[in-house]
Amino acid sequence: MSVTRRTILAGAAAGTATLAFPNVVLGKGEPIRVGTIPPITGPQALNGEEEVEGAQYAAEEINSRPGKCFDDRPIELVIEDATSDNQAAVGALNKLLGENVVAVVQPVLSTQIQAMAPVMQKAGLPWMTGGTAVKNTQLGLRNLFRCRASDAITAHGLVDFAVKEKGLKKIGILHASEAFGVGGADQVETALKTYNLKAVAREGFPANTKDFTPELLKIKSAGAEAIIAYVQNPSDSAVILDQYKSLNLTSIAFIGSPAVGNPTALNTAKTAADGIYVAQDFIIGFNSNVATKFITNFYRKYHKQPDVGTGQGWTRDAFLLLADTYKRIGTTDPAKTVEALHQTKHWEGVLGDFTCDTEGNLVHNMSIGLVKSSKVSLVKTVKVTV
Amino acid sequence: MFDPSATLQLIVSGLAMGSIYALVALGFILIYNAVGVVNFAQGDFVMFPSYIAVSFVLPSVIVFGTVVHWQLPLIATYLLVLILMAAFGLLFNRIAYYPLRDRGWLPVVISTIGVSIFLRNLAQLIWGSQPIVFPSLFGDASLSAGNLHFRPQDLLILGVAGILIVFQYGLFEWTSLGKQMRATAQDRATAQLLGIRVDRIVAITFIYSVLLGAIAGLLVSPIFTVTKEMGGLISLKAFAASIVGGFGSIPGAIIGGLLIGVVENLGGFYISTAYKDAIAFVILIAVLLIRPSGLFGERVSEKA
Amino acid sequence: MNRRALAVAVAAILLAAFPLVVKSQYILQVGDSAIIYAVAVIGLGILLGFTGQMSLAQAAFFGIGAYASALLSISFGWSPWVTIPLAVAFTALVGALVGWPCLRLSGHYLALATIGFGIIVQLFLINDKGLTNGPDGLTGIPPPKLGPLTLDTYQTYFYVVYGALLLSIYVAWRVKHSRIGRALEAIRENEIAAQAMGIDTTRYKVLAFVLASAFGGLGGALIAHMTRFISPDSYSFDQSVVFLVMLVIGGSSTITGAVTGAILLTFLPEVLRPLKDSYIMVYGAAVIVMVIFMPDGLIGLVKRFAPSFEPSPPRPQALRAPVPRTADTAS
Repeated sequence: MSVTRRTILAGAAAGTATLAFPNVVLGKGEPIRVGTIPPITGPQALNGEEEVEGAQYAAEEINSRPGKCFDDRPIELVIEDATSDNQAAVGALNKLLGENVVAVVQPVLSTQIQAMAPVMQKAGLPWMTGGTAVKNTQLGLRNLFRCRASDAITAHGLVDFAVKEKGLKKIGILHASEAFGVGGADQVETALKTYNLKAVAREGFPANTKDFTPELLKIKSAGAEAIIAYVQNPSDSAVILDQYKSLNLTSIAFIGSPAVGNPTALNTAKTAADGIYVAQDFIIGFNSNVATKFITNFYRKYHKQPDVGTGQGWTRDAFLLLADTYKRIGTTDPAKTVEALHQTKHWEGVLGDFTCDTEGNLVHNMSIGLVKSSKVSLVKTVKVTV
Repeated sequence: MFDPSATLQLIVSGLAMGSIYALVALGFILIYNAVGVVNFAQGDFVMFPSYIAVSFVLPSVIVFGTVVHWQLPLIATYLLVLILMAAFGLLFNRIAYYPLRDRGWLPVVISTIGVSIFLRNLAQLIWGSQPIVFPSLFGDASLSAGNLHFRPQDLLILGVAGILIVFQYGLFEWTSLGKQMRATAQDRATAQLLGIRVDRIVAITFIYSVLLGAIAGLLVSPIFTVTKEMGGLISLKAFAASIVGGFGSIPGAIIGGLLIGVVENLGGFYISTAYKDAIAFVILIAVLLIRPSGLFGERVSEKA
Repeated sequence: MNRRALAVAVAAILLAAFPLVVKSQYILQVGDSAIIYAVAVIGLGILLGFTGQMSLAQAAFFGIGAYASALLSISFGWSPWVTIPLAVAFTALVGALVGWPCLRLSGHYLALATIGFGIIVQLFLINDKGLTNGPDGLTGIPPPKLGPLTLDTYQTYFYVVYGALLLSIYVAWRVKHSRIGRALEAIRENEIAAQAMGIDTTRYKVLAFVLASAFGGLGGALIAHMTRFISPDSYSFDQSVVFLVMLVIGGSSTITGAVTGAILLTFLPEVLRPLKDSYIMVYGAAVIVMVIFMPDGLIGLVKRFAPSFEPSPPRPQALRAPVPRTADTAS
């Protein structure tokens, strides 16, 4: 057995912790403090609202089960507002790290993940993120885990569906001009390359666009048979779908990223959304027992449906997986937890099967659904095997 | 490359959007004319009444975390929103402007920025962050004439904008109140000497400006969805529109708004959608540099 | 004057001990950011406070400085000690190119032209993927090194930003108390009179704009090498507004005002964090209250209660110039 410097340091750190805070390590019933940094204020506040709900739901689920995490120790949430600004987000993270948390859940914005990466690399705590940009898990952080399917999986799933199943070869891309939209559009182009195809149009729109006529008409006049839309903001998708219908473009198939299937977007678009396809993390009423139970209980607690795209579902999974991992190894030691999370195999969450790959990706499947009367029904599930 | 049917469609949609810019620009100009200050909260005066309206009119809305079912008729809701916003306009005038009235434009600008931050976060606190849909008077029907498609709401916006412009023209030209407002805008000290109660006229102007924002909000919320960011970019572009047309000029604001709406769409289609938002500001900077008084303004020297 | 110099020196030395006393990474990071913002706000103060011209593009110059320094250090492997000054020079150049045509305008017109410029810069950063890597931003920006020591902690980096702050204060102070400063003040108080006195007003206004841009560029470059990641969403119109609010709340016509405003308003939301959901709303309300009850900024408030701090007779008030109410009214 080779003893590396790292293990010695980790051992030393654990030793000091035992001496300094004997209760934290040994105490039965002592709360486990897990930090979370959703954007509670600013333009991304909708994500934040959903993520707080997901976290509170998860804490309640964990703390009401026998034995809680382990040794009767409950989860205690430490929430700081990441705002929608990178600098302030790093500030919130530093504040959190000063409050004796043992793990960090969030963020979902890829730019915030990258801004926080240098700090989290030093901190070494298990870091459960929801950002789907491919490169997040390629930053070289062993403690970073992604609890949702990456854009590569979603984009390949959408393109396969359009090209192979629907026979639509002329694809126009519509995307938001921020990290998520541009990253998604890039992945769609990569996926199209595997079929030797090129997008016939690629139109980006800036945040808060309220008139999509030029974008939609440009895609139409390029002769597109299908629009693949990478949109993050549900209010954008509602406006897009409304104009897609009022401009009478329904002969062009519309295939959207998860946020397009957000309940608010669909309720807003009403009949305009009928017949469109959406990628989803999970689909209400069509997924596993875990998902069905989650949706029922969530509705009971918040009187609304959880957002199946970004938001509550993956946040709940992140906390539950952490809790189950703590239970499995019987400690909250960060280094050991990181290693144990890497061993995750076939853990069942709301989003499906969680199995960790070498980069820290946990989810490898996505679903495609068809929208009818503001409801999404399952068309197919795409799995990528590790 | 020229596509006649798309071009026509882009112009029609651009006019609809442009009339929204024009409406918001009218609100800007009133306050600017009255007190020489640009109101950075004007966009939030579009957002806030929209939220109030949805809470009254929808069958169920979450307000402060509890579900309410007021569900008033649409007309009653409109009236209630206008009354509430008129009161708010007065409050805005008393708190954010009146104590600062003798201190030049900069402190007032900062105070309107404070109002904007306050309102956006108040809206989030009350209504949360989910976008909310305001029902359109016309359901979700769409109209078409040949290859041309438009939403009934677009026509309504154009119509109401036209009526308001005529109304405002009439108010300023033919009524005593309008004349007092104009006198105050032109020279406060003289207006005071003439016996005009300047502070009162300024307060009325603020109320009117807030009401214009509210009307714009009620008109656009069915097609924009109600979010706390809905007024932000629109108001910046409306601001640009009012300068392109000639700051302070009502016909200028309308033509500036329509022009920006149309050119933005055409530029987005024929040049680049990614830079669509830049178009309004490129026009603006070009107009400022070539003809600083705007297309309809006069008295160049006082502006430069 | 001596008393004041002594007070400034004592404050400067006390501040230098900040990273030695404070151990919380969080407070250190907020402190470093506050100082960096102060550099940018001092620049804005030269333009607005000294010269009376309003810009709402300071975040754009902040972003140009950040991207210039980051790109130079990433692509060529140059040391931040080289790339930061180059970034400042580049930002100043952009400032000159933009300022020359724009400063024929003043007041709200200049403000709006700069808003337009800021939005165009942000769109460029988002869309020119080949150069800026688009909305994904730039990772792997190197921290500066001092001999064998890598300045990659908030403690050590504090001295980099603190040095930059002292330098900025010194430069701004020299500008203020020079012929240039008096020319700028003359323009602020009455542009037409300044012109009549033979001051080339356009040249001096452009000079003030260039200085403001350069300070903005310095701030941006500093933050890039601290966070070591930058992305276009940080350089928005809203951030320009924040800089403006910092300056006016602090007291726009003095350097001390700019610095205290930046520090106060960076820490204020952090102090308000315990209010949870409503803290940004309270911050907005605080801005209104402060602007109403502190007519000369925070610094004015200090002077009112400690008049001996300022021995010189009261200066004519900045930006109290009458509003041109007669101008451009139509309808």
